[in-house]
Amino acid sequence: MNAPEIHGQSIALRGVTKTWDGLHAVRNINIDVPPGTFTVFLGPSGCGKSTTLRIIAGLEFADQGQVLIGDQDVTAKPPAQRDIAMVFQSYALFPHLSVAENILFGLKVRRTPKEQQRARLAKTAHMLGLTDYLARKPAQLSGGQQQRVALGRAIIAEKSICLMDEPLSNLDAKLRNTMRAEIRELQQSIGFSMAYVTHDQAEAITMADQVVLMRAGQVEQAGPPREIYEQPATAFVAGFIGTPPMNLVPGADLWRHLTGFDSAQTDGLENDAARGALTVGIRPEHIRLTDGAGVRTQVRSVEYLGSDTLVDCRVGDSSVLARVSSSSPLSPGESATLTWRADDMHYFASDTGTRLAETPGRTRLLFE
Amino acid sequence: MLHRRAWVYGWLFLSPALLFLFAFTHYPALNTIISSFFSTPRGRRPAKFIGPENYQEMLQDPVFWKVLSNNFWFAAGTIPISIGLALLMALWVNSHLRGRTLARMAFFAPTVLPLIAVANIWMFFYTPGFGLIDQIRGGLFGLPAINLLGNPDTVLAAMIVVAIWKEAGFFMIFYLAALQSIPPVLREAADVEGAGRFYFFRRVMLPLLMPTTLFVSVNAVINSFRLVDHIFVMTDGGPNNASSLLLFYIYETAFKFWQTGYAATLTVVMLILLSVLAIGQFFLFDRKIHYQ
Repeated sequence: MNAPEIHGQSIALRGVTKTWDGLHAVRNINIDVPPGTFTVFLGPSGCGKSTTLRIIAGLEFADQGQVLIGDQDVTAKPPAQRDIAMVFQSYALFPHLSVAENILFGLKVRRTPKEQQRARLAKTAHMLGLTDYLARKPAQLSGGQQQRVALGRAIIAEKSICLMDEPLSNLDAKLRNTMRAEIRELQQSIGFSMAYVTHDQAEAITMADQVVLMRAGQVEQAGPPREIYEQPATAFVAGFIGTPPMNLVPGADLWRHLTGFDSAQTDGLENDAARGALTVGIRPEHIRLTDGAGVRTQVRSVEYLGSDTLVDCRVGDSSVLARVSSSSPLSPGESATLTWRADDMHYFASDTGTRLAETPGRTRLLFE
Repeated sequence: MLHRRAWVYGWLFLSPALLFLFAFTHYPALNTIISSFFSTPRGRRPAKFIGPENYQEMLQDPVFWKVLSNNFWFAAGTIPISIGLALLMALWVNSHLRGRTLARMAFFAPTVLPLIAVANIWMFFYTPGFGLIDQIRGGLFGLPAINLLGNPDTVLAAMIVVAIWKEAGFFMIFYLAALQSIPPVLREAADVEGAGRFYFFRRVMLPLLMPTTLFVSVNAVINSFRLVDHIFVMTDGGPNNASSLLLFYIYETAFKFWQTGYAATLTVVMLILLSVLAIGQFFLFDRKIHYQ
């Protein structure tokens, strides 16, 4: 990989708020995108991630707060003065222009010298494998090729920031995987800062240096993918990340079904959990089947996934998904005892959903 | 067998439309071409074949040339201005302005109103002395009264204005529909690249509107030959044939002077003219047009 060609600029949002007819689209958002890094805005539809991106782009303007690019306040500036390029979900290719003209659109607007246009077009087309398609119209291209043209239009400008709004959502799964890697590689080799919106957590986890997980117009958690996965800040994040996501079970439900433990260890736990309004989180992939001590459950359904099997177990009123090796035969109606390492347990306040830092003492004894 | 039956059904379904199409379009057109080579039948004298005599007479007819040149200027005046105006109005009512529904309705109203009724209103506008135009000229600027419809130099221009007023709103609807089919995200993509309004209009919107422009311009050409209702009401082709158009002259020749043979000849000329223009437009535009 070559050394980066351009220096990405940092993006910072300071207390950005935007309302539509009194409804908050985004509320008091604070985000920092360090220069030259890849930040993914992730969240369910309607969480305000696209609005946030459009505020960074200058296609929408914040009601309150500041948008900083580099050390410049661009809050009120039009998109063209923000040193950004953007790729849209629908690609926004000009249907009457050829691939070459589409890619060159911005350079022509800015009257870049013709020779430079030619040289950069050749380079960009080569980088994206579009050299043979330059004379075609967008309608004569496949979805993946159209996507590349949109990418080409964004990177030929050599802007210090690139914004992408769900650029891969119109592609089929296989193509999405290759494009994912390709976009990440482009970003790293060219060196621009990337703000990328998606609702696909696989994209977020695989591509990002930083994931910003949003919900209802607010940032739930911002951090590296590993942190988001390993230390979810809220129950919402825990229940969003992972396929399938983390099991969230009321503590009282879990303790009520403990089996094989010393009664001295378990007495009173149930009440503690109920009093503390505790929600326990455990990832399906961390659950093991055991013959010894654990949580006693009823198997409701079994989903065979090849190497793994997804077992849906009933614990009181809650359901717990466990991803276990396919070699352990289970069938619906059977009972199964589940166990896991104490380190893999997460604790959240049931009412606010926030992560509880310290592990309630006695559970550590239970799961080794 | 089944195939045969499907074939019969097909023709049965087609036949009502075909019947009318042949009876009222193809047969008359054919008959017109034949009649143009015959003399006008009078009383006991039936029409007889006279070859190209009608056409020779036409070439000698100063009124024909007058009417043809009138029609040329009428077309040259109405087509570009009504299309340009239609596009402007469409752009305007497509933007986020207050009361745009009202504006759209106002622009479209002339299309809905019958031209005969509208012509009477325009007669009032043009009336010398106390018509709207003279009221403004006299009241505001102290200018003397003018008779726009009575002067051979101004009457055609006055007719052109009425036709533009009538047509522009109709064409606006097509442009409006086309504008609304242009995805707003293209505007945003252009914004990000720093394209100004005019650049975007010239390089993106105008090309994307070309199919509509072709459709509208073919219609405008046809209308410039077809739209003569207001001439009946307002000028009757006068003064001195200064506002007479080809179709109006055909009507006069056929149903006032009863020279049906000659009228058929004029009609053939008009048909040829229209076909050549329409086909020409398709060839002229087709290379430049991007169809979605």
